[in-house]
Amino acid sequence: MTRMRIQFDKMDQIRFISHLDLMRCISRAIRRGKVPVALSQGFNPHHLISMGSALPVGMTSSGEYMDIDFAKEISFDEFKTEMNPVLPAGLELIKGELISREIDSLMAQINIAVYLVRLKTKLDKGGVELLVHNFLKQDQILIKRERKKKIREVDLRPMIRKLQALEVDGQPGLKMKVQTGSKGNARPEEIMAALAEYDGGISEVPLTWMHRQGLYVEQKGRLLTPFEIARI
Amino acid sequence: MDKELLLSILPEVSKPTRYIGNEWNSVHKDHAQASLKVAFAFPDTYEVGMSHIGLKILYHLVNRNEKWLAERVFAPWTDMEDLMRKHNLPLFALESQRPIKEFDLIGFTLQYELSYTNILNMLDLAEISVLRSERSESDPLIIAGGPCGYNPEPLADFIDLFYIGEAEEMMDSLLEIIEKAKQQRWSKRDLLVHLAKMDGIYVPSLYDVIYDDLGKVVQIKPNESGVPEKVRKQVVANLDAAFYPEKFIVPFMEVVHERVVLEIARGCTRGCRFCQAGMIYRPVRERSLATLQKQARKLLNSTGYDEISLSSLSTSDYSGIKRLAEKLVDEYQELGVGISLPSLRIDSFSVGLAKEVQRVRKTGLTFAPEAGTQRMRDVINKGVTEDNLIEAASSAVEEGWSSIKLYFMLGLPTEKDEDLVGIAELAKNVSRVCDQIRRRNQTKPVNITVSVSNFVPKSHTPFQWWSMDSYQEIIRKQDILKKEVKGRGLSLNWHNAKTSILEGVFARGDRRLGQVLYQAWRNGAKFDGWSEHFNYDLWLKTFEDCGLDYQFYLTFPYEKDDILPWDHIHTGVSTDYLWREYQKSINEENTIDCRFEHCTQCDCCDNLNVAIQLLGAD
Repeated sequence: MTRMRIQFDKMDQIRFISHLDLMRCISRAIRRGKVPVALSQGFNPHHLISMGSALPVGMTSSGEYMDIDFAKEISFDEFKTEMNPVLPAGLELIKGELISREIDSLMAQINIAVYLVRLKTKLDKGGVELLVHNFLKQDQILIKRERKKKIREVDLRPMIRKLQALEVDGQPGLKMKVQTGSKGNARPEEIMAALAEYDGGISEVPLTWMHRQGLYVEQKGRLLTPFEIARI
Repeated sequence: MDKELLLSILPEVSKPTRYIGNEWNSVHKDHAQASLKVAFAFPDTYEVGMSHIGLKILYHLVNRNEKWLAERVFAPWTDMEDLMRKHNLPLFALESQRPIKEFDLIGFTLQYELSYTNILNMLDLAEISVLRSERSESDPLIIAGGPCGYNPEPLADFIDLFYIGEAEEMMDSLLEIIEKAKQQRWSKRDLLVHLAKMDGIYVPSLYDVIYDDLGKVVQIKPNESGVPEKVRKQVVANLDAAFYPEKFIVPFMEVVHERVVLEIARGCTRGCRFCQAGMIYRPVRERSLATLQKQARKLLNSTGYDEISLSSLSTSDYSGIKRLAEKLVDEYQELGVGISLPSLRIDSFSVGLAKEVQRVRKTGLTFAPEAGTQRMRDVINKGVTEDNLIEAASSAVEEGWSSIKLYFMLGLPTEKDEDLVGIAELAKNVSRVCDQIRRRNQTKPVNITVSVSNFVPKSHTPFQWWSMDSYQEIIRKQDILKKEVKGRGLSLNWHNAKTSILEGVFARGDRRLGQVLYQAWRNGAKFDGWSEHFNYDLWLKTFEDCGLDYQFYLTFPYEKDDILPWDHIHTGVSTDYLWREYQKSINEENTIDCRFEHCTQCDCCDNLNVAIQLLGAD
């Protein structure tokens, strides 16, 4: 069996399908393309696909990842040639590399996400820069999270690596580099809510104004892509 | 349409996938190039509508013509509706996201009486006048068809034209005329008069209805010369050669049915007297094995589904069912494709068949004895005995099933309380036998679910003259069942009585219900089939405000020689046959299936110039 790590896009309208729907959608495309993906054992065989962290519904991404087990040897170019004619619009395979089956899952490895957010603000780039600079000087950035009807406070500050003012589609924007995954997860919509509360000059924006640019692995102070970590 | 606006609205609604389109196999065409634009509208949510086979057939039937385009639209859920109204976003079709009022025609599918208010609401959301009398020349033509269209009268104020029958037969010729009318700029009235002279087309504005003092319909007559008094159902003579899509749209979100559906046959002549489908889809026509295998291959390839459903009104009655199932299992089992049989006859043959085709994962089996005593089953002509059921349930448990669902109805004609007690006794007998077998085989306990719906008399059936139970009577009978259906491994489900009452009113309604429908919608009724939205009191108040007694439609004081509100709609089955069947039911006499023995003189083959086709046996 061969395992391949694959990077793909989720753009356009398909941004609105859930993580579960995405898995089914890819599995059906594999069936249509008759791609030799390995099946699980058991009463209800399913394709052996393992995804990286779920993308919030409504957000686009150019940096999604999945690991797929194949029943026979296949190159990324072959896989892409077979999949492209059967994938729905908005999903595009970008890159793939064969990896060892000993490597940890994407879910276990990925711990950093980079987002681009289009801002709703009257401030110019310099103004945003200053606001963000002051925002990050706070000792704590507390937000409230609700889970199982319990509300608890979470400090976002240690999970934010970097906030950078820039332009997205000719409009003021923000690039966020934050922690993601089970050991700490800062959601971009939470950061936007905290920013808007901190200074009225910036408003919250819908998830459709946000884009995930990539997922990474922070290890011993180095930032690696999911491909790079697999090569180590 | 403002795509930015839609993008900003969608993150705020539940299940945004309902509104995004772009699914695999959806058809996107250039509006500027299309000579005719059709929006197929399903008056319920996306996930309900996308499971409907008729919509799949129609969609691809129209789209196979290069010059025409067909798109889909569903009833937006109320959270989406609120946002659309707030932002003045008119109802749009999924493929192009263009407002459906830009289309040439909008075709509604009529599957369920309680979706009627959604039709009104969808027209309103589309910024089209709900009442046909208030629509202008530039508005799209509003068409409707489907099983509820066989009694079109409650919708007569809202729909320009009803299509009666099977669409494959003359959809092309209908659309060609509408296309020509568009190019030559005919007036809407000229077009409708022209169409009304064709078989299978009912234009309600061209017919006048007269009532007597009681409120009974006494006359329905065309008010335009050349328009026929009776509208004859259109039927596909050769189902094997009829159009069937080679692609199904594959939804992103989970919908009710996610599988390749093969329509193995159309029609059923078992002759159950309550069953409208068994009367309006006559005669039985089967597809050949070769055609079905070819369709299965193409559809599995184009969708990526891992299940095939063999669909018809009675799957095990398909004359080549065993061979078909074997061939499909041989071809697809290794690929992990399962086969499902949605409607099984009550016998051990069917259970054996189910065992052969099912993958290891076993869900429950469902049987529909429909009534609890032999007398009652003779009344409804359900040719099933207690022995048949015990035998079928026994073999199911022997084969390893541990969950059996039994469907019954309450309120059937001539029903007595002992017939209801009979339901409980039958279920207990089944349960006892199943328990003995499972103890002997040392398998897990068997669950028997008794599901009892409320009988609603439908038009064009032998029971169309029967009085439906009142709300109080249904509740009383449900209470009897709740008391009687008790025991280990037995559970009881029942249906909402209020919903059934409203369904009963509209199923045999006349044109006067149009004002009620309109007012109820104005008062906020929509998604009446959804318990979270259904508001019975609103309906009762609306009937009162309109001065119409809803109980009239339940007691239904029509006699043998009376004209019925749907008498101008001709299904091919003669009223004489329906009346004979009604009389036989009261005498508890059975009628055989014409497919297996001799003709039972329902007259449908002669009237429609078609014949029974049992191609599966070839």
